[in-house]
Amino acid sequence: MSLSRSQTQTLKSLFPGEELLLSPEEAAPFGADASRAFAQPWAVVRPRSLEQARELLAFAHRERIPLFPRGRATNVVGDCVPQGGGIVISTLFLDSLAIDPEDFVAVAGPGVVTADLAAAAEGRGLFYPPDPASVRISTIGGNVATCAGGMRALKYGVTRDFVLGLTAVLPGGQVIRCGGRTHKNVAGLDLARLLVGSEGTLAFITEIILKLLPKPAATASVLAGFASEAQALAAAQAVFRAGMLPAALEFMGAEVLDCLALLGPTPWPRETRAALLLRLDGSAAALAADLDSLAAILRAASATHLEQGLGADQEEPLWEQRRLINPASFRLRPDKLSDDVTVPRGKVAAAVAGIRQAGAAAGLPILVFGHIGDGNLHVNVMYDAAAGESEAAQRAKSDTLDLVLSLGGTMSGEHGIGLVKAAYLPRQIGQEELSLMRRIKDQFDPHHIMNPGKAY
Amino acid sequence: MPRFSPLTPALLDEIRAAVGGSAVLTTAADLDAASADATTERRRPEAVVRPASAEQVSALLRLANARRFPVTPRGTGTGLAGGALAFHGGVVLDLSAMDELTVEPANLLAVAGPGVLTHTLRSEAEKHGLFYPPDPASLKDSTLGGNAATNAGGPACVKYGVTKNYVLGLTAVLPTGEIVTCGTRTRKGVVGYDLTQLLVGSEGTLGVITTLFLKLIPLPRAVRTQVAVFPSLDKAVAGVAAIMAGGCCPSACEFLDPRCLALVGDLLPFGDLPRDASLLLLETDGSEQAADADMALVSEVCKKSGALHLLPATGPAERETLWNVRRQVSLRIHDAWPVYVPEDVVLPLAEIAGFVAELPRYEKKFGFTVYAFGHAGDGNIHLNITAPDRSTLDRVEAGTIALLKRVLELGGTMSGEHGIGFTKQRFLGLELSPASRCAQTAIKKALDPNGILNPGKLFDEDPA
Ligand SMILES: Cc1cc2nc3c(=O)[nH]c(=O)nc-3n(C[C@H](O)[C@H](O)[C@H](O)COP(=O)(O)OP(=O)(O)OC[C@H]3O[C@@H](n4cnc5c(N)ncnc54)[C@H](O)[C@@H]3O)c2cc1C
Ligand SMILES: Cc1cc2nc3c(=O)[nH]c(=O)nc-3n(C[C@H](O)[C@H](O)[C@H](O)COP(=O)(O)OP(=O)(O)OC[C@H]3O[C@@H](n4cnc5c(N)ncnc54)[C@H](O)[C@@H]3O)c2cc1C
Repeated sequence: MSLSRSQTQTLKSLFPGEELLLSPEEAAPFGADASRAFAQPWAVVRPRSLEQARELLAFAHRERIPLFPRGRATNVVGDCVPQGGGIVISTLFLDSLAIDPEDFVAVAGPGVVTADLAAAAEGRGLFYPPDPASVRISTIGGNVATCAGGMRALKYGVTRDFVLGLTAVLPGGQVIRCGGRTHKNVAGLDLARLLVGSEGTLAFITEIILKLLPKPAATASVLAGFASEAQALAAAQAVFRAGMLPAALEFMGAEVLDCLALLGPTPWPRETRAALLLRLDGSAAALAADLDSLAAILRAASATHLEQGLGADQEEPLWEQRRLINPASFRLRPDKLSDDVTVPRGKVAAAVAGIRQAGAAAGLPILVFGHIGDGNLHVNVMYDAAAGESEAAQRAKSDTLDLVLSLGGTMSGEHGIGLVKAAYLPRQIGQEELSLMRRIKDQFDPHHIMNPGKAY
Repeated sequence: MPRFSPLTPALLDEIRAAVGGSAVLTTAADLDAASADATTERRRPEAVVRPASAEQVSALLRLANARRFPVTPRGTGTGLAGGALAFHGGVVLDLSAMDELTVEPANLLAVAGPGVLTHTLRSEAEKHGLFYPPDPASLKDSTLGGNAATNAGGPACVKYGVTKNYVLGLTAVLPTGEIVTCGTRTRKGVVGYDLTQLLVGSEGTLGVITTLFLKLIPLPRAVRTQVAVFPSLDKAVAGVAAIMAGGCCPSACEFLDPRCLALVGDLLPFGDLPRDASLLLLETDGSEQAADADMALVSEVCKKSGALHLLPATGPAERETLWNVRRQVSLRIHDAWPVYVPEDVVLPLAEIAGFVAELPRYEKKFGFTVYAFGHAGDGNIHLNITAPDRSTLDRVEAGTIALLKRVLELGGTMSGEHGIGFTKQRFLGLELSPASRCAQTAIKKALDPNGILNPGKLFDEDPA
């Protein structure tokens, strides 16, 4: 199937010039995302206005044409792949941005790149905390549609916690405005929160109002090495027990440290079997003292290696190893299955041990690291497809997800379901809950034109 | 044909068979106790059901759905929007007995029944060095189920967020009787539509919450408190902006307008204050060093912004005294005026002072007196509209509408904390567009096809 001639004509009249891509060559780059899955779009449209989006959703609803919203396609779960064909709606030109320092809000088009928004806020002395590692290449619209997290989630929360309001177009073309510029709002059902994390399956978001915070005056970081994972995890608990809520708390397991050593010298001594990276933020006057308290807590919790940095220049080198995990991982195997599971915080040790077993059973290296303060672990199953390890890798992934669910966890803390995990969904979500989600989907999108095949 | 069936003796027997006889209460005293909340409205239900388990709730709702009688969830009835009142009769579902609570320190998590009092959770968490920040002023009496259903807020929310930000997951019974678990016990989760966030703030219209998984955070070790008096509200609000621009997010930032300050001025040691004087109550928290450093910044900024007086609390007792000043405001307003309409609007932060300055114009036009106080850091203003006698009710209503319209014109919302319930339902159309209301009603219909759960609230027409 593809678009009829009259449908193509309608698109041409709605989207002049570079707002419409019709040739297969031009459209093809919009058929893949960071999951590396691909399907050829029938057409790509790039609206500049709410009005265009409204007309498009009315038209597609009438004609039953699938629509695939797309930011910068950095999602790793196939959320943007136009499986089965349809029109890709790129938010590229919906990139208006206004920062209001008096109201502490940003009003952004969905196509604004997250780092641009964060920088614009910072320019006005304000702070937009959510910081997915893809912050430079992903959009606010994509972050909202996937409820992106990041390192700062521990202290500040995830994207959801910063969405004050949004404008969205429903299939059929009705425009809904939810929330607004106020920092609180309880008038009516929270449709904004329902759209957050809905992965483009309910509506097309055209404007987002985000909450901004005062920018902390100073930051400081600590890198701590431990002789065992148990000690590292106990140290993390000790930090909380002392009443400290770091702005970031990252964990690297033994396999990760060994893997980093493949790239070159590491800052910690050989005996180190686990490491924590922590960041504090706050007023300059208090931070130096807080940093000392933190170091003392970690030392008392038997850290064998400690480095601290006050201010970005000193801190950045400490975070370098964390950034090197991805490149280093490919020294182990050329292919990777990556998950971002989350377990209750007290179950991190059990999860790490169980995942290690799954790796041993499959005969594959598995790297475990991540936002341990949230119990959010990145699990990288490394394998070599050319050497016939794909099946073993899938088994390790499946075992990992079962383990996580048995620990009371969730199979995705950040990345979402998309195409890639749709098959696993019933393992976590019960029949009643799925049916409830489908009832909601049917109300918004009775003909299932919004991002079909994904998630729900 | 009437929409709902009355609870005949036969139907009551069916209810008893479904939920167990001892959970069904029908004495006059029971019905009276369930007929009031913190509004002036009164509605007597036909029966009260007080369940101990989600299964009982499920059995009741299945029956209600089959027999078409209304069910109204209730915590402890401290609501300010009539949400827990049985406007169509039927059953009030009193959840206060479902009060199991487990704090899991290793998971920084609390698993709570809906009937647990807010205060109970806060103090249990504190025993483990943990903190549950949402602090509605009603926290000694309100339930966590009610807090979640109304998405309650409080002074700490400027820094820590509202109830919504702490609900990781929940178990709820849908109007058709299914027991669903949404969200997670984990601190992050993006699997499936966010039904948790849809149910939070839905004022008991979409489901009955039977368990809450709540996020806890490490308890800040130190708190500093200070009162600052400014020559005008304008200056006070500018002070707040300057504090936040200085990189400090206070853990409380309450304001009193000149009228409120005059009402409680005798509780403060400042003597005579200028006519337009306004007050800020500010707190900072964190480690000892951080709380001190932030409070030092607050003091400095307040002075630069023209504060007339600064009064720091030197210890817990003095802190309590300062907060008492803030609490006395509502009580004194309540005692002084026979007609008392508590609105809780929210404005974009930059509009607060301008809006409050406009209030005298409305007072003159509509013949009422407005006291404004609230959460300056998040723009949530409690507008207490008062009048000397009930003969003026029509003008009060007209003036309330005019004020709400102005709030909406300025980009605000009519409710930041208390919700719509029954008392504000007739105003909701001022704020939400038809498309938005239509989407909301569609969700309500999908979940509650017969409109048996908390009818008459939030939604315009009962979806039937
Ligand atoms: C190197 C790398 C690191 C990453 N790190 C993180 C991380 O730390 N934390 C994290 O959470 N994620 C991370 N991700 C995943 C990804 O970046 C996030 O999911 C991000 O939010 C996607 O943004 P995007 O603009 O690329 O959206 P896309 O991938 O283009 O789209 C994502 C989903 O949003 C929908 N969508 C986009 N715009 C709209 C709109 N306007 N209306 C409706 N639906 C819309 C799409 O249909 C799709 O379902 C990472 C990815 C990479 C490649
Ligand atoms: C003196 C005073 C001060 C207050 N201060 C604040 C404040 O600072 N901030 C604030 O936000 N509010 C405040 N309130 C309002 C009120 O306390 C809150 O709305 C509170 O959350 C209600 O809790 P409750 O248990 O009394 O609920 P109720 O009044 O019993 O019910 C409120 C609503 O929640 C629904 N509900 C209750 N339990 C459940 C459940 N388990 N499942 C589904 N629905 C349910 C009811 O149907 C109703 O719609 C104040 C009230 C008073 C009297």
